[in-house]
Amino acid sequence: MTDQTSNKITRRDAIKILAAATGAVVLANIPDKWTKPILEGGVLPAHAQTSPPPPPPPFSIVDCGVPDTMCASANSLVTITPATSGISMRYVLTPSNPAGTIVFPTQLNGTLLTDASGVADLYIEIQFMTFNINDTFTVDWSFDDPDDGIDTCQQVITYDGAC
Amino acid sequence: MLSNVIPSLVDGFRMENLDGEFVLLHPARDAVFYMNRTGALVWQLCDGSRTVDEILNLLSAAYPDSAEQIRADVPALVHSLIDQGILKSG
Amino acid sequence: MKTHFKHCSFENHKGTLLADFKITADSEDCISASVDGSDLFSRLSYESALNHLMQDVLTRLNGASRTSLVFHAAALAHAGGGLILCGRSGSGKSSLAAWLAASGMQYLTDEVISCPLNGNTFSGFPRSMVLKRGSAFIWRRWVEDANDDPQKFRDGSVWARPEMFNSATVEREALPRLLIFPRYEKGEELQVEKISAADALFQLMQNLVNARNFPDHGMSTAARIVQQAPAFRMTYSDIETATQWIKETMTTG
Repeated sequence: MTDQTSNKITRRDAIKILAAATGAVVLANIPDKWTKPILEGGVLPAHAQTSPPPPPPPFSIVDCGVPDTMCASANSLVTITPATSGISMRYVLTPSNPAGTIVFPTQLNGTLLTDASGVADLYIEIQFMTFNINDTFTVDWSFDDPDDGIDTCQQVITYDGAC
Repeated sequence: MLSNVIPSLVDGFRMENLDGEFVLLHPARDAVFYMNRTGALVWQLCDGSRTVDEILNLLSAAYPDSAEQIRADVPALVHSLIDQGILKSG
Repeated sequence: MKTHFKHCSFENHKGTLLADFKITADSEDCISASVDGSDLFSRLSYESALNHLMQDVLTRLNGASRTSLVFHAAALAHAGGGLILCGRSGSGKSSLAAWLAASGMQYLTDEVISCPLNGNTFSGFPRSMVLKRGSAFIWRRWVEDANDDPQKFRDGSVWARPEMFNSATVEREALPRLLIFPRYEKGEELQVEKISAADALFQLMQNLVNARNFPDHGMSTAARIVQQAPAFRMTYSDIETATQWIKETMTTG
């Protein structure tokens, strides 16, 4: 300890010591008045990353069947990957002929849970003779919760009357 | 108590002095720090040759109108500098 | 991707090939990609594939740059000077950039700027503007040709080509004139605070995405940048008020 740092030090000497300690060439480089010291800390960003990558949705739809034909009933199957049970899948069933009678499902817009194979199965049953040949039933599948996945899939089933 | 501690600089920092304010960068830690002029002044005085008490006396003599404030500010800052790994305490 | 990167290729500039992408589409919603022979992703929807490709290309470019500092920032040019809006995701820089471009400033980028180690100008990565769901009002307000729709994503975000905004044009490079660290805060009045060069350097370093490519982590070059232009911290919620302040400051200095 070599500085003159006792309580009796003069202001002039103190400033000289500060200048020496900070390497100040001129005294103007020493703060002319005391203000509250500020220390802030931060971190460098992750290397090469800017906006975060979109989080991959946990599930996606593999398929929901090819165009199919039906008479009295049909099944529309949607398959997700990875195969997981209990994922809520939303279906919207839209008949081209609104005058026909759909026995099942009772709601044209609803949800079904996937089974252990990752498959949700929508059973469709219509009242015989209330539809015309080539009327269609469009099933739009999506994830009920967008956090599960954002894929969609559509299957079109055509009434062929071949019962 | 910090009074008799002789704080000294930790190695490995790069620094930029812009008008008396400092930015410190520690590449190995990916850490960056900013100090205003008084903060940088205290940090520079912590060069391993003075106790905190001696730094307090020096600054109080240089800024007599702020002596009371300095007695509160400097130990708090030195604490933070040690906590952040910018200074070591012995 | 060609559409959204079309301003990013520099004529007569021959760079090193960084990566060779091979993209295959089994169907419109089943897209796979490989890079230099290794799988990047498989069987993604069109939207997911676009997002992953954009992210991957940017990450590769950022990481490969060893002669320029790359900052996470949006940038525009006005009256011969450059505006840098520096901040992390969610700071509101992309929204501000889109609004400023729409109101007549030249677009450089909404995501990254590149500052050469030797030289005073900076350039931007002028991809399509990526606007998140909360910023949909911007393109709805400014995109005049209803047939000229941006690329819309199911999560509500859009990619909008810069020329879709009425008077926006793309600028290659600019001299830094104003450096702003924006922060969007719902309901807040506009607050602008001038900050010191050291504080600006501290903020800038936290947005330097390729620091590890340089022996001094790019700090000396970053220090030069903050001495070229005044820096401000800005808190805003009303984008028009913020835009007005920026344009006035860019014009009057």
